[in-house]
Amino acid sequence: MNNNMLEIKNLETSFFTHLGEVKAVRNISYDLKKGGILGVVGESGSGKSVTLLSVMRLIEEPGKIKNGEIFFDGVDLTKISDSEIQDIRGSEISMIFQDPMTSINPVFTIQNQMVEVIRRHMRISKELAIEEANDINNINKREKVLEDIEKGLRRKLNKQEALKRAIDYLGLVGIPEPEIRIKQYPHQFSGGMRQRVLIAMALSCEPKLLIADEPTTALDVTIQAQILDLLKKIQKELGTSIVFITHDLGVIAELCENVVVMYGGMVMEKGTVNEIFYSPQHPYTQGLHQSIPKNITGKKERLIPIEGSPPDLMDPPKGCPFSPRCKHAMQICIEEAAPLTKITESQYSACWLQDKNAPNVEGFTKSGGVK
Amino acid sequence: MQDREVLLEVKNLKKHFVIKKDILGHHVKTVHAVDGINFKIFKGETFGLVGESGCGKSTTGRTIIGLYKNTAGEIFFNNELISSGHDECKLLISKLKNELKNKLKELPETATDYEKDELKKEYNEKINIQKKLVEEAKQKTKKIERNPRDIQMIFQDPYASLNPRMTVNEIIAEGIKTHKLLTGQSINERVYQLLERVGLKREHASRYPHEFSGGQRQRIGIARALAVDPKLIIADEPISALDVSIQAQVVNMLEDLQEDFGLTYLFIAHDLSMVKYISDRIGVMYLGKLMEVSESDPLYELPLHPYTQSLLSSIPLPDPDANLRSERIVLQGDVSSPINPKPGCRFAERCRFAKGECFTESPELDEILPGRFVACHHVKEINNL
Repeated sequence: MNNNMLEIKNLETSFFTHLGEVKAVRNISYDLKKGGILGVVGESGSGKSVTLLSVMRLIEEPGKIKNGEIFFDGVDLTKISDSEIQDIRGSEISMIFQDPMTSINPVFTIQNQMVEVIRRHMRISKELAIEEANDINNINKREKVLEDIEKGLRRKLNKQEALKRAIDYLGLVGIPEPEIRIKQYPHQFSGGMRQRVLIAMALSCEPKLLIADEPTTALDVTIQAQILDLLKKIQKELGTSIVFITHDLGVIAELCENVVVMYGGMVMEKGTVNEIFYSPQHPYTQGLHQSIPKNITGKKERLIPIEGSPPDLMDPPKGCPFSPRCKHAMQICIEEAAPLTKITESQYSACWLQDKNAPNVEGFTKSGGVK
Repeated sequence: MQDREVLLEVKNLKKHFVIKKDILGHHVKTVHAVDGINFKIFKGETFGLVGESGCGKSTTGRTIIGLYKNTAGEIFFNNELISSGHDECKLLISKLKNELKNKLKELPETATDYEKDELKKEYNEKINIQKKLVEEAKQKTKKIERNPRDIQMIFQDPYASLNPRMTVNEIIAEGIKTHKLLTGQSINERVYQLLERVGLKREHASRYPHEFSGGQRQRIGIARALAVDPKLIIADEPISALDVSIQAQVVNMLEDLQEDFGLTYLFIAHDLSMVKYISDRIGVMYLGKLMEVSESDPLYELPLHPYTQSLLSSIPLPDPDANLRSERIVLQGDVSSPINPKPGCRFAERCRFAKGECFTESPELDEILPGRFVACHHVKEINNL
């Protein structure tokens, strides 16, 4: 049995604009364990959102998934039909977006929108279905219904059941008086409350995978703390796997178990949270750590910024995307992108300095060079 | 501390926005964006102003530079008055007049003229006091000779704060020309010099803003602010729109410039760890009021106000082990509305320690420990001082 909820293999996604091809995601692979929380960190334009939009098959013209495989619970999402992905979207994979103001429809009540999602995707539980079937008097009909139940064909929730479920989930995410609040419109909620509504909506169909695209960036720190606590609780209680996209290393450290560091459409480094924070192997990850204030108490150390600016994806560097800004860059870095080198069982770094032929540079522990 | 030179002093600063009037023109709904704050900024230091969105930190900055006219209170720059608000007195006058009218109506019909006159007299006295205040403020305002060069501003959004139809040269030179600081070719020389100072190149002068990245645009904004030799720079969230790796570049540059030109900064931001990094002293705002003002190190080591305590404990640290160790005080509920706020401490509704007088009386910002000002009724019990 495969232990991974999500496996992305050699994914390439591009946008074909009239100015040329924008290579947003260039050959990316990473995976997420069942029930785990994976953090994807990167700057704007690093391809972190496009990767997950590709997973949801939400890339629209002129964008296209050029290459690669995305396995969700064993199913390759790039190969299935549009109607099949629509069944998975919202029921098995849900997404929370950054801006809670624009991702809910302002002209419908919360009830309207939540009930729609639940009735589209949810079917009644097996126990309830069998109970209902046993009430049927006609033996032949009952047999047929029970057979259908075995095949997984159960009826969808009716309006009352869907409403009850919606209210339950609003309560779960900590909205006070959900029976009253559910009848209100989005503008009657504050930013933090709207984000909670979105989370409730995303969870209401018990997805196996929740993709959170910078869900706390637009919120204040005190509200952010509430939302992060909520996500942790959900992961623990419902066993939902979570992919959390952010640019804030603090949030990653707080929430995630595994981390993927992206830059210029490529994976620079991946590993467990302790590896990424306490023994970062890639110069970019190290640079990120040095450019943020580490301690909020104690002595002030001057920040060491990463000079230069992120690459132009229209015309990305031929080799490693980070090479123009890297202080260790060698000739090979400019010519060819480095493969992901295994450092430990869980940590991989895409840097030529990890190669067995690389010179020794201060601050680097070379691994065995296993590719 | 006391003998340091004060560059900017804000006394009881208020800025209210009227969002709804009734048909008689009386103010029904007023946003109390900034509601009576006091602080001083010393020469050469960086004063950080933090708080959640809607707490009035940006309004404070904009009022100081004069983009908004203050409703009440005074602003001193270099010990000279630069702005004095008297709108509140005017409001009070109309309120008093209304009250008088209503009281006269309420009087029983049997009331004598004498009684009426007494009432009128009483109110007229009050009104006259306010009128006098307005008159005084007007006189003071007339005398103000404000030098707009002294205070400059850096804005949050580097995409919206530069005119897309002007070249970089025109953007930076505009202030120099307006204030007639230089003429002819020397203007260009000055622009080149400024560009190089902020880490850009001479050639960039003839380009337009859209040709630059976010970080570079913020550098142009900084060069524009520096062009007129300001003494105080108000930086309103200058790094929050930038990528993490670029933020450090801009912050380091701001620090270098401060040293080279002897600048004073009012640094407004919501990123608490960056504010701590750059500021010497910090003011924490909540719903238009200052909750705590302190030097930055002691503030982060031992926050005294319950709001500051929970705010600081909410910062996710870039250190997985530290997050496991630290205890989080998660605030319940949302920031309440600044429209017609209730009396009492603004934080009372979300405060763990709130009781009795917290809901009726607004606490003053008092010096609890040397150099540490806290606005809380129960600060001593909470912290066992």
